[in-house]
Amino acid sequence: MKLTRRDFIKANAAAAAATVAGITLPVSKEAMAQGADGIRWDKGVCRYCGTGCGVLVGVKDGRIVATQGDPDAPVNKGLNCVKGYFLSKIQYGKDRLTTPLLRMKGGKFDKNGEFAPVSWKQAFDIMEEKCKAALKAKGPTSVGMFGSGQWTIWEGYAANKLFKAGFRSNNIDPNARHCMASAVFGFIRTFGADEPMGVYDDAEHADAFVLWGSNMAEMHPILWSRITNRRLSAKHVKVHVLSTFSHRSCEVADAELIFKPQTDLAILNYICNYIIQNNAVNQDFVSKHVNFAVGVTDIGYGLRPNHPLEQVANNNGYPGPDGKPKGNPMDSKPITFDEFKQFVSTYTLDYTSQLSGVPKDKLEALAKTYADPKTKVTSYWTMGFNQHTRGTWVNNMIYNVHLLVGKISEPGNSPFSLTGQPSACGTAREVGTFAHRLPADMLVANPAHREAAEKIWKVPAGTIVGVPGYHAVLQSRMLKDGKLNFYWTTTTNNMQAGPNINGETYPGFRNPENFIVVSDAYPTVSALAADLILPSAMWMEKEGAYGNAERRGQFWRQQVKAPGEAKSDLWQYIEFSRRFKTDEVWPAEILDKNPEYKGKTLYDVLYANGQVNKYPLAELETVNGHAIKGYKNEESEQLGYYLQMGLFEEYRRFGLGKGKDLGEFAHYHKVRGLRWPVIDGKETLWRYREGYDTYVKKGEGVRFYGKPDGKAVIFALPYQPAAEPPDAEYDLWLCTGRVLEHWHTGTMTRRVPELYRSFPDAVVWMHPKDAEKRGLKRNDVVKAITRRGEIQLRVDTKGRNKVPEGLVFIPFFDEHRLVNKLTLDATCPISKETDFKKCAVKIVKA
Amino acid sequence: MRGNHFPGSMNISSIIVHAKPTELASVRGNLEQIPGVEIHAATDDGKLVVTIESETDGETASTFDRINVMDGVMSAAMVFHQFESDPEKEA
Repeated sequence: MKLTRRDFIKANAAAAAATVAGITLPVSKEAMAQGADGIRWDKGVCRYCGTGCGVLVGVKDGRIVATQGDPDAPVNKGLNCVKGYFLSKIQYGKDRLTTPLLRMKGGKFDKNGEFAPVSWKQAFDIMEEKCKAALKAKGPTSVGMFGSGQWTIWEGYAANKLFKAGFRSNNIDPNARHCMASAVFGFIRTFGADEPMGVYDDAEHADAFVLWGSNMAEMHPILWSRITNRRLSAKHVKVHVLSTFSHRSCEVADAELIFKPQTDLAILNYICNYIIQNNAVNQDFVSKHVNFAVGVTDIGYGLRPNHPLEQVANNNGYPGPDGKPKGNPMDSKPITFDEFKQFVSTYTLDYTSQLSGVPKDKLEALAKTYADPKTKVTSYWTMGFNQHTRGTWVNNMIYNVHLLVGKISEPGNSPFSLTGQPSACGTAREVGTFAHRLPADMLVANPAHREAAEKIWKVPAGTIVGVPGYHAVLQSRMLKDGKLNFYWTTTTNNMQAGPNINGETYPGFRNPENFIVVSDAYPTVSALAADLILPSAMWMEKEGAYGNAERRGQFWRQQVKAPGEAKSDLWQYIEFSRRFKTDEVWPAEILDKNPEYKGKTLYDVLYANGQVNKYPLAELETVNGHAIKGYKNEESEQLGYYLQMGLFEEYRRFGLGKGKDLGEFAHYHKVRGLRWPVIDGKETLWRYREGYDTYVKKGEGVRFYGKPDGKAVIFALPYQPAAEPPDAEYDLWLCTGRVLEHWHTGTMTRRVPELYRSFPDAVVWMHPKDAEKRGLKRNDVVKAITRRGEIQLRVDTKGRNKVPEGLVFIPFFDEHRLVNKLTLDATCPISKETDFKKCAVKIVKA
Repeated sequence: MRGNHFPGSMNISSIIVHAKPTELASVRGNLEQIPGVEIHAATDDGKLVVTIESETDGETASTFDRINVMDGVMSAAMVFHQFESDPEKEA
């Protein structure tokens, strides 16, 4: 009998699934044999969310033809979600960008011209001209970059270095600002160190799971499958889901707590009050490991300084009438346990239930879950907490709960902040690509930190500027105001994902004073609003590294070539650095003191510095030969040294000995990831706990070593209303977010036919009664209108999201229905992260 | 719509369906009714190894959705996907 390719592939597919299910099929050995089908398999990492699933990538004739969940990957143990399932197609959309495109009229650049293909040389020529003109006219604060949690680790590192040390501009920020800046500030404020103490293994140990503003069933489906497995296999396990509307995660929940927007603040204080009133405080833990503080409260809403809400705020940090900052929203002062007890005592069951709309029995059952010393609780949260005008607070407040009962840093007891992007942790946070950060939790405002960074980078003292740069939302405002004039966005799509596009971002991009460069693989709305588009290599077209939400760094090899003239973002930054001499970007006083830097290019100083260019090409084979014989990658081939290895090994020095230890470059290329701190080649599971974390000495038990005294902080913080609640005219809450099938702005998933077809257009989910009141039926076309703009889309009153009366939900993946024309650019005043979940909207028939 | 469409092409995928053990027989029966779906193995605790073949490019996801919401199905997880432009070629 002839075995057709169809039969063969089917047998292969069945064998892969059988392996994951723990079943042996007779055909499996033959079908799974490496290379039997002419396909070369290698390990990789999923391109989408922060879960960080391992995928095996199958390449044939220079093209990715197959992917499968990696059975050896500890994160996903062979499983894929629907997006990961179709990963093989993301690189092959019809409209891949394959050449630089510049707006031109009459053969030269014109801001109002049409896009026309140009060479890389022409592209860099105009970028050089515009960047140098801005630097000359207004100095380093007039140039900036916007990147993302999708940067590979070395891309983010190279970009961070180029801006902070090269151009001496701290105006570099990742889109992760929109995603988990509040989580970062929460960690830093409570623990003095970023990122979760727990790991995904908590999912197999917890007795109860609590989801706060997280729809894991759709947004982190594989991690969710670990929770549902636990729920189904251990009968006593309970799941509580807190949200402002009912969604797919609620289907498995034992308790669904639908609260009124913003009242999560009150619920968290109620839980603390319950714990205290019922003598459930873990006194031993609290006395040894916790300090108490009360934060300032009059902190504003991160709006423009002339907004009425900011004018009355006295601790927003904005310049006051005397030019001095009005307080500091981060400020706090120490208090006693009794003062904290007094503070939360007003959050009674009656008050909290009335304010939040959650029935008393559900609130009490939730509080009991946290209070019961015999129940191990893992809390997960994502954008419901982080995208919040009190986002830093609400992160502090979930830690309050876990710290009061000592349920932290041990298997199953875990407050766990999830991330939405594949390297929000690995790149945006750990590499410190925020406008205020340096690698390994260091800050540009701290002179000792700048000095340490300058030493590792081998740049003169005083090169790094001590003033934080423009954060994401401020970048858009400064573009509009004509203060940020050369702007490069890369691996992200802020014209669709950022807030208040009509009011800030679009006018900023089109401001005639500004030159906007967008690097991407596809013509996103950001690219189409730019002046110059650079075609980027993506995912398996370059060697890469991501760090997921459980501190796991994971590497992959370049598997295929990018189409046409497309080049990696890393290559783009490095090539651009050759266009600048130190004499053009650094002041005379630095060069006079350090004459050996004179006349050098930024490439010489930043990359050909004896560290980044240290590893010869032969290392490519040494490190990767076990997987791909004769392995090469394009950037290294061109430069003549192993670029990624040099960048990573230099970067790694920042964290060694500081609890941020990463493993050696070559090690990551052999294993399915390592969770830092990596000590002597061994990863760390639960941080801050003796026996798991070698930074905690024998006899200490627990030590939150991010703080000098080893103690975490419980913060007394109140419930406060949102920035723009509904009123008589704009009478509904607008909440935005994602759907399972699409990842963020859909740049990749909308080019996978299966995903596109299963969810082609954004809809507005609305309660049937709210629809009826407005004379609307399911599928009617409506206008969603806020003070900032309007869009048209169809109404859905059924399906996966069941919103309560008074609230509507619109996803942001659809470039034809840009919901961020409607959103308000109010942020957490501490983290500067936008609240995409709460503004006022009205819905009318179109 | 933007994206690939290759006429005559073939998507082959595999999934693990976790059925309630008591409803395994009915889930099996329902799965067998879906065009392109084939069951390769099953365990006593309700796990089924299933492949999905689809002729046009939108079908795999909708078939998967259909299985996910089927009575008696607790979860369906995806494992493998291969896209092939010339599936009738000899192996």
